[in-house]
Amino acid sequence: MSGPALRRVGKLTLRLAITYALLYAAWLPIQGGYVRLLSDSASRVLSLTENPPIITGLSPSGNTIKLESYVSGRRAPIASWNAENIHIFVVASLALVLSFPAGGWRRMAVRVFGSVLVVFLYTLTLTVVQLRTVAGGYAAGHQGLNLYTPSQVAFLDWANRGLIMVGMLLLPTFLFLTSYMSSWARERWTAPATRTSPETHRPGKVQKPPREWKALALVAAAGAALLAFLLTPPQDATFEEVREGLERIVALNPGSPDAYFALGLFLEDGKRPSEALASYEMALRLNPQMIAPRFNQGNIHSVRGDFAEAVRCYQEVIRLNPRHVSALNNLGFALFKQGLYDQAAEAYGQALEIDERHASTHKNLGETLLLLERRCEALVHLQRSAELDYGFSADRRLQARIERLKGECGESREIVPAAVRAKN
Amino acid sequence: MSKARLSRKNRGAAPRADSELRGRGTTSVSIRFALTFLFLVLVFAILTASATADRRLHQPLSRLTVFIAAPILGIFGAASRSGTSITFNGFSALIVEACDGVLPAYIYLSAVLAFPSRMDQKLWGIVMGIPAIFTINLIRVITLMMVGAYWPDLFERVHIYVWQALVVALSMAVWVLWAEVFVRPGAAPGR
Repeated sequence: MSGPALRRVGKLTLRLAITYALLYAAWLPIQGGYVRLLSDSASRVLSLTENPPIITGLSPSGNTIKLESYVSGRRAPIASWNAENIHIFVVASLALVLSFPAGGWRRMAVRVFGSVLVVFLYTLTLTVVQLRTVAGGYAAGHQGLNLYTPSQVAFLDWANRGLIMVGMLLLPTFLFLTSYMSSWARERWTAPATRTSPETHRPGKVQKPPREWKALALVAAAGAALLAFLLTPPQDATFEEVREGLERIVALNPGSPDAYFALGLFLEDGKRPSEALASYEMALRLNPQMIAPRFNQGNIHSVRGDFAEAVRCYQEVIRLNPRHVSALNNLGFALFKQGLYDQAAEAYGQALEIDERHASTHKNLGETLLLLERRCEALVHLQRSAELDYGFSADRRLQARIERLKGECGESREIVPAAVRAKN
Repeated sequence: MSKARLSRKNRGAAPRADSELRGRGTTSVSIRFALTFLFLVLVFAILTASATADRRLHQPLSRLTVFIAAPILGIFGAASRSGTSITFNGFSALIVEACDGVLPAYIYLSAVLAFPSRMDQKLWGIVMGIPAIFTINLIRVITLMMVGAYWPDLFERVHIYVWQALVVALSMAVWVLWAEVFVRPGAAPGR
């Protein structure tokens, strides 16, 4: 082996190590910004590629990206993806590119811009694939739902493994080899020319600058256009799109009560009560022990004014879970609306036995006791509701009523026993 | 026609045209190398992903890796092997397709074949480089088994981050050595 060759390899290795260390140090403070850029771009890509949309929002925080989805029926954060390891692909690749002399800053700028563009596109693709994988994993792990068809899952798995392999091996190798080749070819072509015809070649004028400027402008324009496209904020998913997505999840999971419940919840929030009731009914057929769909059915009936049906739903919920405070409170309300004040007061009392700090139950019980002409007991609960809830304390009508009752009954002292008395 | 040429040459225009050609040559050689390299990687990726390749290439290579690694690990502790699985001091691992060294080997091979050089130089690259890369992979398997046995918490990190980067770096080091030692001293690139 020749000495100069080994010296060149040694020099190259040393330059690579120093460049890697410097780039890594420079990377640390900008990683958060890069993750934010990836998150915004991935949001745009997902809005274009997911039809119907499953991931409806991304929010970066430091090195992690939080995913939002409506898979549970309401748009909410479901999981997060840690982008900390993205530096491996960025720093290693760029260090390999920067380690070779390019023969002028313009050439180096073209090389660096081009490489940054390639690395960014690669990391963006990886981010999109991994975010979809995380969403699928979350739904499978927490709700037992499949978000994707078996062929989509297989494709995501293949793409994930392939991209990691590409990022770990092929991308740095490719950038390294092309940089090496570029330096090699430049030396090969320029050295003999400058030696053989010194009179016709001035040093540093081997290539016409305009070509490099053109390349630089082309790469910069491509990068700017890409960023402008990617950073255009995507439109929020429409009601129909989300509905389509949830219906697709139902179709992929026909035996899952959770899928029907999520669809029902979304339809209920979207003011489609009849369709929501049907979805909840399907969920209950698949799992009669489910409480939430029955409770929500009660709420829909209550809002529609069908209080008898609402009472039936709430009683079923309480049969399954006797300590369901909201069901007891809502049962009391449905009974109250039917004029069954004694039974309503009893339901409210049961709710307060379980949770004495339930402000709206105190208020409801207070109102019911007023109608039952148990005014001083009513005062205790109305006062307590105002203590527990700022909204109630700011309610002038409630305050006026409390003041009036105070005039009749004096300052109330007992609170908890009053609830018990209400029950009796 | 010749008059015009002469007059342009006399004004000093010819050297500029000459340098433009040289510039285009540099770029086209680089682009041709990059495209050939990617094409070869794609071809090898398709070829090595088939069921036949798994039967005739990956599995024998995995078994060979285990066959060589087990006695070497036996020097340092209790090592045993079975098919493509290897155990060292209670830590077991399966040598799968991604760990048999085929991927870095065909990336290296693509780089050697795509690089503008003569056939004999390419042959040297293959003869020298492929065994070197499989040796690197063997060292990787042995050290990973040791890390797994002695520092199991570090295994995943070393497996994914340290050795992946090292495989790239060492494969490229082998390639650069080949390019610098076997190709550079020769004449202009063969293509």
